[in-house]
Amino acid sequence: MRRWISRAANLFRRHAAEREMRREIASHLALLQEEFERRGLAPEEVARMARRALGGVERAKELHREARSFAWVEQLVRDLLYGARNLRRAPGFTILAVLAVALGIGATTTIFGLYNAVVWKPLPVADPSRVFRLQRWF
Amino acid sequence: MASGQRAGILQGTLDLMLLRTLQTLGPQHAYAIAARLEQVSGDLLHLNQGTLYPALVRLEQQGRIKGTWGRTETNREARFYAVTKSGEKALAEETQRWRQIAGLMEKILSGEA
Repeated sequence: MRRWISRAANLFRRHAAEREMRREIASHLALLQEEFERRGLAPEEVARMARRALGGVERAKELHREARSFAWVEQLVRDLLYGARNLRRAPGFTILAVLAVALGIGATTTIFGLYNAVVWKPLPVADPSRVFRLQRWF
Repeated sequence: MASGQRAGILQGTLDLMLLRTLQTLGPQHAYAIAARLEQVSGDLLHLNQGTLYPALVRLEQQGRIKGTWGRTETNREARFYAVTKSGEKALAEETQRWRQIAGLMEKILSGEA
């Protein structure tokens, strides 16, 4: 329970949590490099070996993110923001799309409204099944 | 089991290993924990050190460990994790549970059961 609260809270302090994580992983990498230097590795090897011992820097970050928050919510929010930005960048397309959706909704609502009134709604009398239509021909 | 195959970490054991390591060593950063686990296990356990982070994050969110920034002996900054009171309690319980299960497995595998 406590963990869920903490994960939810991290959704709102995403940037702070991200900064903290970068700092921690950078320090981890520095310590690894220090160790490999101490063992006398060549400088270009040191950085490579340190990243490898960590299992890849980006992979480590990804694991951290998944554990500390709800990654799918963060991704969803990012996708929505991305969509909104793109729509704003193409106003012509946006207007057309909005109109198309509006017309679609409007048309279906109208048709359903008519159909509902004519076919489905019971007649406004006490016992609709006993209403008859009488006709005479001459 | 195929020879040369390295032991993967049994589900749920990493948290226990981390708690115990921190209790033994006192407050430590992720790298020191990883180095210690590799040293203790010899060649048996080879972990990508990044895989410690999910466990560290989880344990901290559960309030079992607490991280604070500090300096190493070589004056580098690092985040040091310490076991909390509730962490001590969890460690005691989990240790007991682990021993029970290990004992049971041993019984079954040696055919006494």
